[in-house]
Amino acid sequence: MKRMIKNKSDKRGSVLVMVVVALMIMTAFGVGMLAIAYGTRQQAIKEKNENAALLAAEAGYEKAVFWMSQQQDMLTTLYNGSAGTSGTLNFTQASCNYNISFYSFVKARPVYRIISVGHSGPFDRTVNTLVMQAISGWAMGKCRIPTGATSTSAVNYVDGEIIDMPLQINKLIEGMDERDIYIIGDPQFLQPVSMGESRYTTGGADKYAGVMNLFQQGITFNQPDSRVVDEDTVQSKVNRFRDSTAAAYRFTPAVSGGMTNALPAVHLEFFVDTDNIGKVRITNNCTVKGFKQNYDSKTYDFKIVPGSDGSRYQRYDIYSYHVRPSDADATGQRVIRQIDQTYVTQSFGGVESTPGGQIYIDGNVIIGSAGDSDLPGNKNVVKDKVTVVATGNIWIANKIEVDGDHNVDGKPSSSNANVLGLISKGVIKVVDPGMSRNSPTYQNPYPGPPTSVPSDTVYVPVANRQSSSSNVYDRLLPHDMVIEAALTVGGGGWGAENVNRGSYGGRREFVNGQQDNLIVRGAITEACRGVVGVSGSGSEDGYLKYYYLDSRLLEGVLPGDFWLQGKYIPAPAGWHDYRN
Amino acid sequence: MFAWMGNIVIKNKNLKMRSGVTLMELMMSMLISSILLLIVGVLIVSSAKGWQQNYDLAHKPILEQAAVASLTFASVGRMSNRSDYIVYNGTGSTFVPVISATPGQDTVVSGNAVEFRYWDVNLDTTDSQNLMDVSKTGTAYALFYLHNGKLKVDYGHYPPGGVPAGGGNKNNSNIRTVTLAENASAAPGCGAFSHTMVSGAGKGCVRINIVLTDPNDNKTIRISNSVLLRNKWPQ
Repeated sequence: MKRMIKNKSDKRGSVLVMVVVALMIMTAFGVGMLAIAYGTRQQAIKEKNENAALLAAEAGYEKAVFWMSQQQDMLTTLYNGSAGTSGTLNFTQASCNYNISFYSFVKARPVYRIISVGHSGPFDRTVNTLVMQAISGWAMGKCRIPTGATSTSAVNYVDGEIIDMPLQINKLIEGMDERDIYIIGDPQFLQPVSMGESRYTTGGADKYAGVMNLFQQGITFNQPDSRVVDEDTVQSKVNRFRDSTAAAYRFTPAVSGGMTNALPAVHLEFFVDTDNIGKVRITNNCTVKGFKQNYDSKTYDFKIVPGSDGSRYQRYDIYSYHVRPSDADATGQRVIRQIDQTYVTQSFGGVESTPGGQIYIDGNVIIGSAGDSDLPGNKNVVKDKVTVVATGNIWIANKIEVDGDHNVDGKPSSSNANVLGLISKGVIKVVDPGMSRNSPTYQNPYPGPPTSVPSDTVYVPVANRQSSSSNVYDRLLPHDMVIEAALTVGGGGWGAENVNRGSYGGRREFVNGQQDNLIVRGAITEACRGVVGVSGSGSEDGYLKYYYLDSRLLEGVLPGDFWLQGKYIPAPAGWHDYRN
Repeated sequence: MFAWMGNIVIKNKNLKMRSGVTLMELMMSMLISSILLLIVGVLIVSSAKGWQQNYDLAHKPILEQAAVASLTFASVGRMSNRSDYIVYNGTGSTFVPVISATPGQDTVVSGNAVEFRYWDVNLDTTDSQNLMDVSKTGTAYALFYLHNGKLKVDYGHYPPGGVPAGGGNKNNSNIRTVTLAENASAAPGCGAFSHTMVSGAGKGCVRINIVLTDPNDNKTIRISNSVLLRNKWPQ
């Protein structure tokens, strides 16, 4: 038996070797194929996860800018360390963490940084973006003028009008199925238009089907509202501006006694002196004689009732004339300062903005020097950078332009460093120069000329004296009323006072019966529309408007960071996304 | 039983041990070996073929080109300026902007080229590059276009950009041209690059639709991607 077994084991077999070799080769191929399959699958998973991570990171960015649009004032929010500057979003198989911080001031424009890191599986993608608040040329809470305590009327853009400013109109809740921009005929919108409302009615109909071809640079819908309609936001900006203004340029004017309908004001007269230095004459404690019609139906001069959320309006005292203390020079109530003396910087986290002038008035402001005033040099010209904030109204009593080069189209050239900002919690209006001449009538019980003013005060003429008239109260504004400024109106609309309504009121034009031109080169932000002029057969009054965006404002040249758009946008070169 | 076994043992004990196989055994062995070899060969060949197929699926050039084209288009687009991109139709080296024939309606317009303007420098805390200048809508451009069956992209400085305003000959100086994909053509039913326009302005979502054909097997792969341009300057 042993021999038999031995005999069998002596046979040399090759099959086993062949099988083993074959198995090894096939195993190698199998492992290779598995490796490839694994690699392919990993590649697919990686691409899927990377895409998911990127989408999650982008969602975090969107969430962050949405949150920023809800804040009253981002700088104040960050300064206070408020909650919400970072957050987490979770999705199926992905998540992200985002963080908002202050990056720097570019000139006077704050730039923020959003870092959003998306995660999916083992992969991370980062969106690292610098953003800043958008600036619109002409932003409004509603395209309607107040006509009564609770009533408004639509303001139409009409046939033949050319609107060469980017436009932003907030969403108007009432009347959702009507357009929030009112159009008659074929006005031309040469710049982008941004609407807060949807393009479609609640029933899905296209509200804009018939007018889309009017918007030559496009129109966008469902955009964040301008926060000019939010009193708390405006107040927050005002507070920060006040706190950063030098104490010497914060004023709280008081009225002189002996005048009814008296309103406290500071008179600012910008000029460039004979040495080519930009200056401002500041007269504190001026007293404005106010006037208002006795019924809502007689006037368009309304402002928003504070605390009414922009839903109620009240007549306000318009500018008739003003006086100053007769001893203003001797007592230091009237001083001349170089504009660069008002310069301050806003700072955050050790980063400072470019210096710029700031003047804060807790009251009303009159801007403009009379053509026949005693100031030397070029009157009503601003040299250097300055922003004026008033808690009351700002009355514009003459043209106001910036010094320096202008383009052929009249706008300040890009190299021009001079700029003016006017911000009011009340209204900003062009005064009616006829008010100082008008006698009271039955229909218009005007206060009459300032022939008798309170003791210890003197009448301060504004606008320009009618050259052929011996009446010192006979004042005119130029036919082309040029305003080169960024205007922000928190308590109403931008416009002109005493525009006639029916048989009441009526402005004094440069040429009687002929509408003047209101030329704005800057930007306008207003809570609602204000009346500039009216037209119709035989009832023309006030101004024809010519508004142009001063695009330098987008570059952050205006001191004070007083922009109120709810939208935040990536800064130029501000978008970066990458793998971690 | 035991005795019989004992006889056999005895008989074998008398034989001289000789190695060798019979013809039958040899033939059987060869047959079995051949079958085994055939099976193993078939398995090896099919394994090699499968491996090659898998490898091609994962790594063949057309796939890599598709991935590169899609990623390049998306990554450049994301950092580009929405207010300054243009879709063109190009013939030879001449490119003409494509505009909507119905500006009052949302209209998809398409062409065989798109030029993105973007920034290839960073916004620093002092804006040393003067990027906040409103007249500066980018510092670089990327012109994606189809040319002789290839998807290419030209990178260059902006200004002057890839194509003069209003259209004209493509800029050829101081540029870097990269071929992203070979054997490329516009996908049927739409242009190679498209976006939606309304009222004369693009909505900022640009799409790429390209078909790549593998010359070895004539198999095709479609690149279909879109990119949202969030950056809009000046604003």
